[in-house]
Amino acid sequence: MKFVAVVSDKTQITAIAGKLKMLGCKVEQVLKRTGVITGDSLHIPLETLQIGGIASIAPEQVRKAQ
Amino acid sequence: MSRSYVTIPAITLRDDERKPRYTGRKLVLINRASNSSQVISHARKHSLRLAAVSDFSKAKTGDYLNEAFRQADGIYFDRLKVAVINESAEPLLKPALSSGKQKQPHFLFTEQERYVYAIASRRRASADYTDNAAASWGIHAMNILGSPLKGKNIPVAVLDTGADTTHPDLHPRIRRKKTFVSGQQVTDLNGHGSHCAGLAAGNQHATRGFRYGVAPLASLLIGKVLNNQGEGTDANILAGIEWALDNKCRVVSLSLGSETYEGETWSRIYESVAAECLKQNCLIIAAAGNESARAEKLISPVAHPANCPSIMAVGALTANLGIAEFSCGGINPDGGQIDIAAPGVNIWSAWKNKGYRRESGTSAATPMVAGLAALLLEAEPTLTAPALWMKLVQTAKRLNLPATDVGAGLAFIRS
Repeated sequence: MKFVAVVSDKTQITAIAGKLKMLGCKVEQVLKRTGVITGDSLHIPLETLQIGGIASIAPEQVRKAQ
Repeated sequence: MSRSYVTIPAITLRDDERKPRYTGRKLVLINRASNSSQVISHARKHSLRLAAVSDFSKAKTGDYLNEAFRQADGIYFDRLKVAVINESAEPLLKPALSSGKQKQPHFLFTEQERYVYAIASRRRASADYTDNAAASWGIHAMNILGSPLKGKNIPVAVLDTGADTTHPDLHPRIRRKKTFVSGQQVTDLNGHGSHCAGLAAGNQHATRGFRYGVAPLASLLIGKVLNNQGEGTDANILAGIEWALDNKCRVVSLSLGSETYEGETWSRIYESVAAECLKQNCLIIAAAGNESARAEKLISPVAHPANCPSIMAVGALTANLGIAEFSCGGINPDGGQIDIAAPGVNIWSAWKNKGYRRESGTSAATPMVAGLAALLLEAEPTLTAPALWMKLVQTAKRLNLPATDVGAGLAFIRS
C-alpha cells in the first residue's frame, strides 16, 4: 500500500526513512523541508509502521482538480 | 427691465457614472433672522421674482413646484430658509448676494442644486460586476485596478495540471517549472492549470490588454502535480510543496483536493506540512471544494487539504457577490472553516493551446487570492506568512453572508 508519513522531528528524517526500509518498505521520497516520507509499504500493515519518530502515517490518496 | 442671459451649462456629468449631477438651478441659503417679506422684497429689488412655497403648497396636485417655477424666478421655502433659483435667473442672483453691505444680509450663499438618486442596496450595488474592456469582473470586484501593485518578482507556486508554458500571457512570467507526474511533461494538456496560473499571475491578454491576472508581474513556479486528467496523488502534491519551499516561494496555490464528509477531521500530515510552510514563510492557499448543491440545500464540508487549520481555505463568489452554488461550507465543527472568498463563477483566464476560457469553481477563486497575496507581499516584503494571512483577512471586504460560507469576506485590496 502506498503511504504518506510525516515525522515529528525533521532532523531525524533520514534515520527514520532508513528504519522504514529496514522494516521492508520501499521509500520513494524523503522530503526534508516538510518532514514527509512517501513510499510503498508493500504488504506491511500501516499500523506496524507507526514507529518512533513518525507523527502520522496514512494511505496515499488521489486528489482531483477543483 | 431687460434681462441679459448667459449660457450656463445646465448639466454636469459625472465621469464615473453617466448620471447628471447638477440641475443648473441654484440653492440660496437665507438668513434665519430675515422674515419672508424682507426676503421677497430684497429679491424684488434685484428683479428676482420669488414665490413663497407656502402660497402654492396647498394645491391638490403634486405639481405645485413646477407651477411656482413657471410663475416666478425661484421658490422660497420660508420654513427652511432656502430659496431655489431658476437657471435663467442666475445672472440676477449675484447682485442680490453681493449687496451684503447691509447690517443684515438676507442672502447668505449659494450652491448648485443637485440631482439625487435612490441609493441601491449594497447587495444590489455590488451585483453589477461584469467583464469590460479593462478587466474581468473578478479583477473589478477585488479592486485590483485600484492598486498600482502587480506582485513584482514575488514567487508564487501554482501546483496543478502544469501550464501551457508557451502561452503568450504565461510564458514571460514562468520562472521555474517541474513535473511530478510520471511520464508527463509539465505542459498542461488539461487546461485547468493554465487557467489557475493565468488568474494568479498571468500577464494581461497579450493583444487585447484585458487584465485577468491578479499579480501579472509575479514570478510563477509551475509544478505539475496533477496529471492531464486532473488527478494526482499525495506524493506528487507533497513533493510539489517541498519544491516550492526549495525555491523560496512565498505563496502556494492549490486548486485541488478531495471530498470530505461531515464530522471528518483534517489530515495530520498535511497540517504538519502546512504548519512547516508557515514557519518557512510560505502560505498555502487551497480551494474549499465544489461539492455543494446549495439549490438543493446541500452544503458539503470544506475539502481536503483546504480543511487543515494551517491552510487558507477559499470559497467562491458569484458576480453579485453571493455564494456560489457549488462552494463548500465550514460545516464541520472541528476545523474545516472557510477563511476567505473570491470570484469563482464564470471567470475568464488562460487555457491550454494558447487559448482562453471561462471556468467556475473554487479552483478559480484560489489563485486569485494567491495573486492578491503577492500584491500584499510586494507592498510589504517583510511580512511573515502568518502576518500575510492576517493581512488578507483584515483587508477582506465584509459581505452580508454567513462566515461559514465566505469567512472574512471578499478578498480585496484597499486603494
